Amino acid sequence: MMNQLNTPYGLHQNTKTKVIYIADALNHRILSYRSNISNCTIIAGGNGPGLCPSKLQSPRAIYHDFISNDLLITNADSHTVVRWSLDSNSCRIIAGNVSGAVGNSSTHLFTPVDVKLDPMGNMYVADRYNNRIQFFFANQNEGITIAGITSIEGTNSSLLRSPSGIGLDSQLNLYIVDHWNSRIQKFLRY
Amino acid sequence: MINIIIVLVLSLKHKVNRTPEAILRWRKDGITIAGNVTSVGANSEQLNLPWHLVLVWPNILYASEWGNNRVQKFILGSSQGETVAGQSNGLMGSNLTQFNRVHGIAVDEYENIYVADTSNHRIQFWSKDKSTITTVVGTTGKMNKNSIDQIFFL
Repeated sequence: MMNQLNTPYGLHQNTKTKVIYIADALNHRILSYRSNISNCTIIAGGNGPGLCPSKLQSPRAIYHDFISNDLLITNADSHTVVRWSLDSNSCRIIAGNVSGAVGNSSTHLFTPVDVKLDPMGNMYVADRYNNRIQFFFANQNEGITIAGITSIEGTNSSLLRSPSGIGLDSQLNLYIVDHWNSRIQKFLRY
Repeated sequence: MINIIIVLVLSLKHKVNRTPEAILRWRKDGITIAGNVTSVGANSEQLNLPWHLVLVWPNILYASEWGNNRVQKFILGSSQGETVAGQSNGLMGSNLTQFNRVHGIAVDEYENIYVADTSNHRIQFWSKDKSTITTVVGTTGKMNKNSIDQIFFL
């Protein structure tokens, strides 16, 4: 049944190996797909919903860190971002509450749905129902809000409504999919 | 403003460990570069509940739309999107060329597109020229639930 999916959400391509990673959300696992090879491989999770070190919970987005060869995965239903080591086949929580609790403090998340790294290893998380984008310096677990205002949704230029996607250009300008506002916002770095 | 100060303070605090020592701060006001909060729809300047984006150097942005069941391509600086996967009118379905609630997308180095066609439970591949459209993972409309998940959801 490895090639059957249940509510696939996230896709990401490993820029070196060209493998496509699939967040198979309601199977709580990440699959890898290689073009022209018919079978996928389970590379993370697949042990039912739950917490690290072996389980994922509704993974929505994946980002491959080519420096460490880890996958960064957002668990929408346990409100965490985890680092999954492909070498040890286990994970640890790097953002959000360790027991999966929801919240709006600097160490909590509320349904994270996208994650990206910049070239310095800093992390950006779309913290969906907190209506904000959280920034984490490399290896820090305290988030800083860099776009949107925590727990306030709106349509003006400084507010977001259910942000769902993040992009960074070479200047580290920030591009945010502002889901419920049906727009894409650019936040200039200066 | 407070956030900017915090970023600056933390930048200094972590200066020792980080190279290059860039100051990371962003404007608090966003500029809308695609879609329109007061005009939601399926024409080429509109978006309907976009979900994910992919930037391709130097100036291309791809956006998937949950509400329009399509993937739009924008040249940065233009608000006109071009439909590169799915139906430009937003029509939802389970045919090979339709989507039922798209989320994540991936774009390879040839600008071929992979789409997570969520409610069809499949991953679709669209070549750049649309000459090849295939299901690469999953079976249309058939979801795989393993027993452990069903126990959890009871």
